[in-house]
Amino acid sequence: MVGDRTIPPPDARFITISIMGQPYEVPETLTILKAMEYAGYQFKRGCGCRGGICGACGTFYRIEGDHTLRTGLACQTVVEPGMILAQVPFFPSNRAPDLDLDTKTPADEQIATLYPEIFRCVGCGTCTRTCPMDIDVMGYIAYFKRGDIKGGAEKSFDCIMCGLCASRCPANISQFNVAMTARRITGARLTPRSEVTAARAEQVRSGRYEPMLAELCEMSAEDLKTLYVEREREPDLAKPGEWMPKDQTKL
Amino acid sequence: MLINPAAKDLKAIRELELATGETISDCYQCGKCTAGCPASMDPPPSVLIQLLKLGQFEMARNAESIWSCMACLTCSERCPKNVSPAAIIEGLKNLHLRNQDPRVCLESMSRNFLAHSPQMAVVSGFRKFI
Amino acid sequence: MSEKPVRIPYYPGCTLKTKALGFERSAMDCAEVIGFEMDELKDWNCCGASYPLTKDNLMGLTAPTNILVEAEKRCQKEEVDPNLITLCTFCYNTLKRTEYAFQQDESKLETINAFLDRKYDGSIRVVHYLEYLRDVIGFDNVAKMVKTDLSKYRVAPYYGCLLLKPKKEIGLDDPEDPVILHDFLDALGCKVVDFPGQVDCCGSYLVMREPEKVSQLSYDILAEAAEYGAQALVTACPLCQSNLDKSQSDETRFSGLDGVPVLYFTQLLAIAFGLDTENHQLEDHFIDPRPVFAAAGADGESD
Repeated sequence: MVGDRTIPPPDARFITISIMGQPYEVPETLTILKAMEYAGYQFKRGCGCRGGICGACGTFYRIEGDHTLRTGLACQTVVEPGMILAQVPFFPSNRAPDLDLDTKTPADEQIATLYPEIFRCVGCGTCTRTCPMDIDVMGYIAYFKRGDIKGGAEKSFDCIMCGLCASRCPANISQFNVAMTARRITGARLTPRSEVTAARAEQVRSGRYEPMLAELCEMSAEDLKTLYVEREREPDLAKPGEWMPKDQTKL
Repeated sequence: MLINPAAKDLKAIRELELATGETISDCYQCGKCTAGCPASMDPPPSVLIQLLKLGQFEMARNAESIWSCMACLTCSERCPKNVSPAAIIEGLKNLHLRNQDPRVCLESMSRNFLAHSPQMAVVSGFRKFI
Repeated sequence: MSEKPVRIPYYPGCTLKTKALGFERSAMDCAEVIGFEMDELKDWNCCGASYPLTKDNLMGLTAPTNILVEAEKRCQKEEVDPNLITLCTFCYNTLKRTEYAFQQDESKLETINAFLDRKYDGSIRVVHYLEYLRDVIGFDNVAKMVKTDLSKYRVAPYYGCLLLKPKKEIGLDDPEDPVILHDFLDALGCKVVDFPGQVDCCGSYLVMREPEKVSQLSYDILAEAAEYGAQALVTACPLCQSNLDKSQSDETRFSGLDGVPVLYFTQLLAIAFGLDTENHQLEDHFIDPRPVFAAAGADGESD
């Protein structure tokens, strides 16, 4: 099998980690994800962007001899000696169906009826301690409990939906789904409409750009290239609103 | 002094005492707790305690009346022996709640209740019934 | 009286930010008149609304401890007395009992600190708004600030349960024969209606499973208060207010009883101070208190 195999340098140091309860010797500079692949595991699930933003590679681990349960993203966390790993590619969560974004019901009442389990929160803070993105999960649930949906939505912004918080919650709350619902409601009803975007969309709908697009479609590849290379560009450091192109007919 | 309980009931009652911090045998059945209880319980607090003293652990544990306690604490305040029937009742409820036997189902709760009740009612209710 | 108002860290609780917003607003407006400021904690969570009755349950202490830690941090940073003022009786009760528990058992505090990975030193003293009025301001000083003549109004104090019990841990007043709300109403100049049901339970959270029982208990309290001549009740608890007020929508049970408005004590205080009550959500009560207190300026227009 040919693949993206790690070839460690000759003087690489090796450490022992435990994957699925079995010990493996891996180079100490690798992330958990690459270390598992070095050990021969192939990720079909539990691996996504490899960039710390998709939430697919949520990992629980302990260091041998330390009772603390730790979390991290496999693609972002570097292995340590004695690491004992458990991957969580999926965790069953509760997601309320029938989200009506156009309802007249106030946002706080909507969240309370969709996810009444948030009122079971005991404030233990386990979710906050679990989150690999350092979000104050208990904090945003607290905001939802007291009716501040927009505040909680903003507080949850960095969430990558890895599901680790829900896996540990003693009150069985699926925090990340509550937060996603709150963000959707906030975007739909609690934040001001962008007048500029609406105006631009109207311009497009009015067919203003159709003739220009038609013209471009008729052009030869050579002419298109010339047009692109010779286009007027706003200088990078120009103050907003100060620079205008010479040809303003297309604006 | 507990009155002739069976060994397993004795163990259950001792565990209940440890969990709640109460001494059930201190109760001398004066009835002030029942007299002051607003919950119209049947069996009422003093009878629940007597059931435990008689070793009838399952009867106390399975009494539906324990779910009507509203934690007003009148019983604990008035008890001349500093027993808290409210604590004992909560201990009995916990035996159900900690064994996947709740009394409220979130999915079938009235949406009107969830939307319009003061949060303190929802939060404390969930603590007592789930 | 000092020029700058005294700032006291304040814990509102979830209910006061939504369903009982009028309670908070009236309390804050009155505080301004009296000369103190309720300074809301920056980061707070729900107190849990329920102090665990069994000794084995430490989880119920986690939420209150988070709040006390925040309050302690604030008081240490601003170098003010370690007091935390509350309005909601459930929050007051939960926080106060937590304070007591930690004083009695340091190992409990150590366990919770270890679990939460925080360091609460146990310094905060939880205070109720009524307590502050009685012990720091003095009801006689409150009386001096009253502008409205309430002498014709017969108002009954309704204490409920959690403001007073358990006496050993809360210590605000005697649970069987309390006087704090009586003295408060006296200071406002009302005719105080003393009635036996003033310490009877309204049903509390039982409204979730046995609303009929709550309705009956509420009727018993209101009917007795009316029998003793009360035109209105005042309370400190948003759940008591909700149960007593909303249960009156049961027309069958309450057919023989004219609507008895149930106000928060701070809503009446605001009327007594002659303040603009437009933001105090009097109109959101099921039984609107404004007609009863209209002559006292409760319709929003000051005398």
